[in-house]
Amino acid sequence: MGLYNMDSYNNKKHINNDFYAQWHFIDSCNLRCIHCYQDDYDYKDIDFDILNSIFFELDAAMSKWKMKCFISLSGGEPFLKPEGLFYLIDLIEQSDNFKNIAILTNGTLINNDTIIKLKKHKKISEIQVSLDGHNEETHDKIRGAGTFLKAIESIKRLKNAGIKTSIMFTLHDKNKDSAANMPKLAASLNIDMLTVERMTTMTKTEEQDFFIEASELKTIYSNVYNEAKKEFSNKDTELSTSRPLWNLIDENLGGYCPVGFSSICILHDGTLLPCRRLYLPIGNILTDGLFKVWYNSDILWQMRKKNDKSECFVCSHSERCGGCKAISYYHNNQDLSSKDPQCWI
Amino acid sequence: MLMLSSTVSIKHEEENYMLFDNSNGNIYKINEVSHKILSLCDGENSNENIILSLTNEFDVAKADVKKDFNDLIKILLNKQYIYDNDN
Ligand code: SF4
Ligand code: SF4
Repeated sequence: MGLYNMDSYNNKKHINNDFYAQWHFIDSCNLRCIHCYQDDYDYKDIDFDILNSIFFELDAAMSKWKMKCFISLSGGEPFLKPEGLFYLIDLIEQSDNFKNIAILTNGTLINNDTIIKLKKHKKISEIQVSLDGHNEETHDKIRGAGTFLKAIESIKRLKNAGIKTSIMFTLHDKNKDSAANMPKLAASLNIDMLTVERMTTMTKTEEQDFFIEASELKTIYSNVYNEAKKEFSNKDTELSTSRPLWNLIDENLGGYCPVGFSSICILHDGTLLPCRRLYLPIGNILTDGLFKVWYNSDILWQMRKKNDKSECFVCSHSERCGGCKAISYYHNNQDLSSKDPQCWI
Repeated sequence: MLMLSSTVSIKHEEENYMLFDNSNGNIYKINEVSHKILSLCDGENSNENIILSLTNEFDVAKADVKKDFNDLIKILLNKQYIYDNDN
């Protein structure tokens, strides 16, 4: 019996050894954003034993699979519990199995002390601040009064300190008019990376309130892309376009959903999800271990397979796209392999 | 009777057959016959039963099946991937 490499299940042509983990190590947040999937706001203390156990599981898996992990630390709001956040960063920095650390934040709790601490850690490659509008009015309607200015202030502080900073704009029906203005804002702040990514509407009510139809999304993506080209031409700022559907704007962009191949989402209590936008618990890293879930989850196996009955399977874009599985799942009667409902072709 | 250890699982996906050691992450590529043997190691099938099923399904001589079976079982018992629930 020879050792078998899981990579043969990867349909992508260019296999590399990067793994992406998004770890929501706390579930508390100081904000109440209208589109957020977080619904537990208890300010619990950090359980360091849990952090250790999850870290060791992930570290062992990276070592076994000979993969290098790019990890995003998030919450809730990660800076709400700096003791947990910096403890984890220290742990991660000591392991060769982890390449980079990103911190995903709402940007309202970053002060000068935080910046000093962040600067000490070499593996922190990016602080991603969520901005849901190009101005105070749009952003604060979604995230709460005063949050836009706080986030902008944090971005400036981070950039002044020489820390790579990116903006995450979660696009939906209530902020769609802001989207094409985001590149200008990002350029003015000298941001390193701007991500404009669609919100996953998980319920019928969310769909009614937030969903953007495919034809409209096409216009929005095109406008964002053209604005970014213009605004970023003499800058180091980039537009992140590695997710499904960007390939329809430019065939060199986009990317196949990494779920089941090279990414996982871990919640504060160890619950494992295929992706944070796909709330289908597939096991628990603390009780099952990562290997067991990764090798045996039916959902992951389903997502690894290309379904030859799906419209995406026969699409010429499938290598770089395949659609977002989460959006497809919630929109199309829980069918993971159905066509992305926001695809405009 | 033979039984798969709780830390081990098997998988048949398209043309691939695999054995997973869920405790240390090892993945083994196995063949169809080995997969069948392991799927029958459920604590209820006797060795004789397993060999009989294989002979029926794979159209091979019983003596050959027996040898393959004994070889595989030896390795798996050794690795503690299966155990005998009679012991
Ligand atoms: S049909 Fe599927 S693979 Fe093709 S562009 Fe649309 S979502 Fe992407
Ligand atoms: S389900 Fe969608 S959001 Fe999640 S990893 Fe796949 S493409 Fe990205």
